[in-house]
Amino acid sequence: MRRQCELQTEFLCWIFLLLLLTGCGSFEFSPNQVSDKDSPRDLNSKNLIKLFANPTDDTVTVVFVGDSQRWYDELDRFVEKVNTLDDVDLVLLAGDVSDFGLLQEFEWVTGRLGHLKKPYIGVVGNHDLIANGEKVFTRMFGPTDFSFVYDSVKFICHNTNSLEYSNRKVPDMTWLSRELSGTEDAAYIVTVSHVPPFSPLEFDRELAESYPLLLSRTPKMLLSLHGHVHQHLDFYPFEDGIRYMTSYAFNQNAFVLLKMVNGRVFKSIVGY
Amino acid sequence: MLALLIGSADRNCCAQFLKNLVPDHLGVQYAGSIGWVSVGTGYDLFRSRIRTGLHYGYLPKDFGGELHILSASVYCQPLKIKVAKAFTIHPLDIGIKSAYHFGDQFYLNWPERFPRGYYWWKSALRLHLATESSVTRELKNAGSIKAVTGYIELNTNDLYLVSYVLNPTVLAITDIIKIGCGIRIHF
Repeated sequence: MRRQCELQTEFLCWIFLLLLLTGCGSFEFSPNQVSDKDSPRDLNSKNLIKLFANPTDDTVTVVFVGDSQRWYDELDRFVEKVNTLDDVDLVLLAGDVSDFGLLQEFEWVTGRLGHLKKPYIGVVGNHDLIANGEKVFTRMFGPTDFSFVYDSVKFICHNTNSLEYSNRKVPDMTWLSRELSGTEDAAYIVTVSHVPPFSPLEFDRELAESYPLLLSRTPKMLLSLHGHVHQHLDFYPFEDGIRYMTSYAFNQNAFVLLKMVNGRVFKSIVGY
Repeated sequence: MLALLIGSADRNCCAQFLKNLVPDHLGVQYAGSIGWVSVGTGYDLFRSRIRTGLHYGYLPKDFGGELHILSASVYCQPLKIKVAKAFTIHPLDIGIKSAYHFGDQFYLNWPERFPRGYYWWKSALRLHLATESSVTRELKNAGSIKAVTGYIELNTNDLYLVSYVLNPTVLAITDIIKIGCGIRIHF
């Protein structure tokens, strides 16, 4: 009888331990699921509402960074550092939010970026398109091609991850050329995309000439911003008067701070 | 007479063989990274020290799909404790699972446009480490059903593990542990 009692106690303890364990994790249907009950939606449009609520002052201050993939420790310190800078208007994340295109990674990143005081905008990178990544990205952030005007600067964010597509041409040149020409409400244009046109493998070879040509024929072009190469570059690769800049990746513990004032760009490098 | 003997031996052998082919268990599972709901079957091997399983899982659009997943698992059942007359618990079975995701967006072999090794993993196939803890109730008068098991399964996969190992200070182990639960009937 006593033995029976002990076993039942053991049994109850075990059930209790099991219930405790289930509190530690979460039910998952697949690593490739597009959403779960907690995953955020339409972050770019929500952050744009936040941005537009911010009063303008003729200076647009942008934290420019890319490739957060798998560097969560650095991401925490990045958020902490950016929150100490009061004059920042927005944070631009130039692609590769995730490494494997998994929902869980997007949630780990956006959970941390959610602690930013200032709005952040996510642009799609090649790693974000792997597996179900494109569906995760578009549900969580919004369309992969979009634009907005803030304080006389038009930001044209778009998908340049050509290698990920076999069934359609990327970047969408028709969309881009329409966006570059319809700029009545802006004095300057900044394009933002992940893969730069000077990445020979990942950027569509057939568009490698027409893309820079299109930018160079746009009078209001101020900057072409990219991620992907995991190093900061700031140069005129096509010698056509268009300034291309690439961001640091998160493992480099630094970001580029851009101040745009009346068509002039002041750049500084901030470590964290 | 000899022919008759051989014939009957053959029949016995055949019946035995077919009996061995009948799976040892059938189950249905909720979550556990192989579908919103999955159904599966499998065999108990080596005097029930090893349990194998094959599951088909479905994830509808409303819950984050649509996905179709085929998964195979092997569990080692090192410890079982009889807690009451008809109750046995398996405190911790340890296993591995592989889950194949159907769909054009998932690759087992990356297309030729990608240089070899550009992405080092296979997006269609996830490998999981898993544990299962279960309670089994033996049934006396339920025909061919010998027992019913209720279980909770914890798992993580190769890509979550990579993320965790590279960020041990900021990711908690509970961040990469995912849960499933299910019921299995044994024949």
